[in-house]
Amino acid sequence: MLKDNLTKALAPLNLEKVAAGDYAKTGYHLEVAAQPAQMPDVAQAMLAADCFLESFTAVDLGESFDLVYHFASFDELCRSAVHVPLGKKKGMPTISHLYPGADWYEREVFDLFGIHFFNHPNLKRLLLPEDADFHPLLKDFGASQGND
Amino acid sequence: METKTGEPLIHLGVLEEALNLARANSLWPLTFGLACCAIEMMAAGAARFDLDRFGAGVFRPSPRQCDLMIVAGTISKKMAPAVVRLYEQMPAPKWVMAMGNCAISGGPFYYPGQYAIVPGADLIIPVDVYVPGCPPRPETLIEGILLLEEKITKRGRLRKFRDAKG
Repeated sequence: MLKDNLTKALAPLNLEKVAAGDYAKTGYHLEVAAQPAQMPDVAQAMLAADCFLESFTAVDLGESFDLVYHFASFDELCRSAVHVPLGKKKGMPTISHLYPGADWYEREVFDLFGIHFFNHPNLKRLLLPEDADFHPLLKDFGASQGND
Repeated sequence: METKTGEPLIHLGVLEEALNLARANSLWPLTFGLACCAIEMMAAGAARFDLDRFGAGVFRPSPRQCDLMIVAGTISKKMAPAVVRLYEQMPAPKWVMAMGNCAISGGPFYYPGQYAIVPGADLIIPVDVYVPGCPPRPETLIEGILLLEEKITKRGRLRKFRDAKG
């Protein structure tokens, strides 16, 4: 079972949480919590288990961020959610050297939240004009703070 | 960056009318679908609502070969310079149709203080015909093309829609 293989592969990393998720309720078989520095190792374990990166986004919780990575597999129905708490004004290591698909995801998170990714090959804005000076999905960016 | 389409250098008189008739009945649109309106534009160009019977079914991907730019969709602030550039690359005489509410005035995505879109194509390029709808039905797009034909030829259509009551 891929879930058990993943749990075994993630065990030596000493992650905060590697738990079975309630698939019927949340849609995820595996719920993982990791620290930012451990994320490349988690991604390496996912890659070794033939999982692909489904999506990646961030949530602004006010005092900190919660980065959410979703992995899944084509061979077997096993969806994993990895949550990474990140402080404000902190950066995050990139996983784009392992998952090239994360390149644009990380650019989007940088564009909308301002989270910096270390060693990213091309960390430019993706959706907003490149000379924009704001990050719109932060909680303290008001709805009427745009230029219009 | 104003494109001046003022008086032509050579007045061709009656020949101009024939030329305008030719231009109106063979509008070559630029495939410029930006968002959902593009799907309705494709539907208008496809078999059921056929734009080809009006001579306007030849969608060209290059602005150099077009006379009509159909701005079909929301113009994000990042896309706006590209819209202007493509408009400038079209050779005169050229016309622009703002298709859908987003191209007319920002559509459902406009709210005071928004940061993402240009609320209307006519803020960046001169627009000749506005086709409202979200999205406009293919028949509405065809009506927009016919209105543009009337604007180009400066005369009414040969067959106007007659009221059912006569």
